[in-house]
Amino acid sequence: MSILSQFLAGATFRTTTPSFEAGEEIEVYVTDYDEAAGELFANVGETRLSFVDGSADLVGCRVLARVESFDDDAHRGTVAHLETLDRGSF
Amino acid sequence: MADTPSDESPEIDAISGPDVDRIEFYGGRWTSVLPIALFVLWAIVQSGLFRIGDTTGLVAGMLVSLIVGMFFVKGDWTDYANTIFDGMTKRVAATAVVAWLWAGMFANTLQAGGFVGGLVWAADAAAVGPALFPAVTFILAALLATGIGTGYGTTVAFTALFFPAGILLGANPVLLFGSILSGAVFGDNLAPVSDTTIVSAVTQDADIGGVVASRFKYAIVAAVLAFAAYVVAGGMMAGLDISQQAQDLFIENSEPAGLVHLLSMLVVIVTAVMGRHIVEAVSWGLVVAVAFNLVFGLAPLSAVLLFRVPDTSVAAGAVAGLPVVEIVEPGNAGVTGSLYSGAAGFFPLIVLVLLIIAGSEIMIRGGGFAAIQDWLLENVATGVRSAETTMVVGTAFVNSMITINTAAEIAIAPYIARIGQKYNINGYRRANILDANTSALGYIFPWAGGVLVGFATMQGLPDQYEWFTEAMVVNPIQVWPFVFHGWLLFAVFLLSALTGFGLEYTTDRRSDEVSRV
Repeated sequence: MSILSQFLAGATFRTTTPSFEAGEEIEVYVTDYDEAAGELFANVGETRLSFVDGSADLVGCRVLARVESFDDDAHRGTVAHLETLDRGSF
Repeated sequence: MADTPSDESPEIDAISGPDVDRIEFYGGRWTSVLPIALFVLWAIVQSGLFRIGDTTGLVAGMLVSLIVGMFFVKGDWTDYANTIFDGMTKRVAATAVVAWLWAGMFANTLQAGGFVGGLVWAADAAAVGPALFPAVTFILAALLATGIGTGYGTTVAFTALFFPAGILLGANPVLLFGSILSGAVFGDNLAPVSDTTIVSAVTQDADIGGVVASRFKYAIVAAVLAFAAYVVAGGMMAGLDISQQAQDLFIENSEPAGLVHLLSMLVVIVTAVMGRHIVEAVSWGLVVAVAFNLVFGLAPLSAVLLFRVPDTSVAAGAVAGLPVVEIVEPGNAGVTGSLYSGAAGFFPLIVLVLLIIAGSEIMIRGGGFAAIQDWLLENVATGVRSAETTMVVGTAFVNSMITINTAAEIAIAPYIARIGQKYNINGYRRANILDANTSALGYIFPWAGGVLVGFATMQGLPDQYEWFTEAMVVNPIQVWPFVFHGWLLFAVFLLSALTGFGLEYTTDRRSDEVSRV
């Protein structure tokens, strides 16, 4: 990243519901595990990405995941857990 | 706050993890807020209502508050007592104390060498009138603070040097003090060697270069607006009525020679930017300043350090010829000079701050701090915009309670990380929210470390200048509305949180590995 782009990065009004493409590899913190629905998920803003695999002990971890599907209207998608990078700070 | 460019890890030890002894209070964990809350009340009554600006009075207030809090502890009081010890020995408190002492010696030595006279001469020659003086002071203080990385040190130096110069030229004292504090906020926020910057980056898993680059866009918006506000307010707010005769006399006698100390300041900036520890950087500046004073005849060695030896001393005869010795009547014995007075001015404040940190530690271990945060997390941070707003307001609120801003920052950092990670907010953004509001709020309220240290410095000015009276000292409670850059930085972040300006997600870009300075 050039120095100028480092200074200008993020200088926009960002949406609360970012979109993703199927096949995209992303790094996310796993937000929570919904016991009732049996759903492990990561919120990116107010976009919810559900894991097609993975267990509740991943909550709070930073993981590498691949987007499997994404619905732009519902701001929901599914992701596959590829690798656990680290446990989030604190 | 006081900032140390060093290879060592910043004082993350201030975070009280789950393994430390907890204190239980009657009335639940909210009661642990009592010592700090009582002290804030005492400070408001003493400074605001009674208009008594006596730091030792605040020390008494904090001591009483700590004693009162103890009566509400369940079971053995030993843990409470030990927590006072633990709080007072935090490294963050020592870091601030060191910055004040060194900056105090340095600023007083520049003062002895006629730097204030040089500034007055320069302002007069450049036709910087009283209206523009606060705005110019803001820029220069911001540059110094960004260079040396310590907002506290900048506050000390500028209050000792620029403040009297500005008052004499007719600038409004409250506005001028506000502009100095604003400059300190700017530097604390942006300087790569500032310890608030380092703590913000390290606790949010972001690299320091990246956080500095990414926070520039917020800082510059606030700074441009603050500069404009100082220009406008400078034209509207009148200065003090100083005897015209005294004013003319000082301006007439002001010589450019004292400006040589700009080089002394440059030595500190360059050494700090080269990555040397702030103690080392200021010490070099001090050595150069003393040398300039002697070489250019700006001040004798006795103005830097003087032993006033009583004539009854057995050593009086032997040391009488030394340049740092004066033989006096027994009643006048003592030590004087810029090194002495520069350090001594901060003694009551140092004790006060150590006690406040102790009170904060009690609040943390008693669960009062967690209670506030949990409430915010469960009830307020329910979407990404409200989560960011909670991060801004929560950081500001904690900083308004904990006097040393680095200590406040360390205490709230885990919550910022937790709230932010819940919505995958990027580490740079989290670090920026954390540091900006830490820097800003640390210099606004009357009990904030930055305000108190400026006040302590100001109290020494009547001893330095005949024309500077006690009435010219700005009461800490007067200055809060005029710390424009602090308020604007807070406002910029509040607006950014509400609108999503500058918001980045962890998926947008990855912060580099954490590296220090």
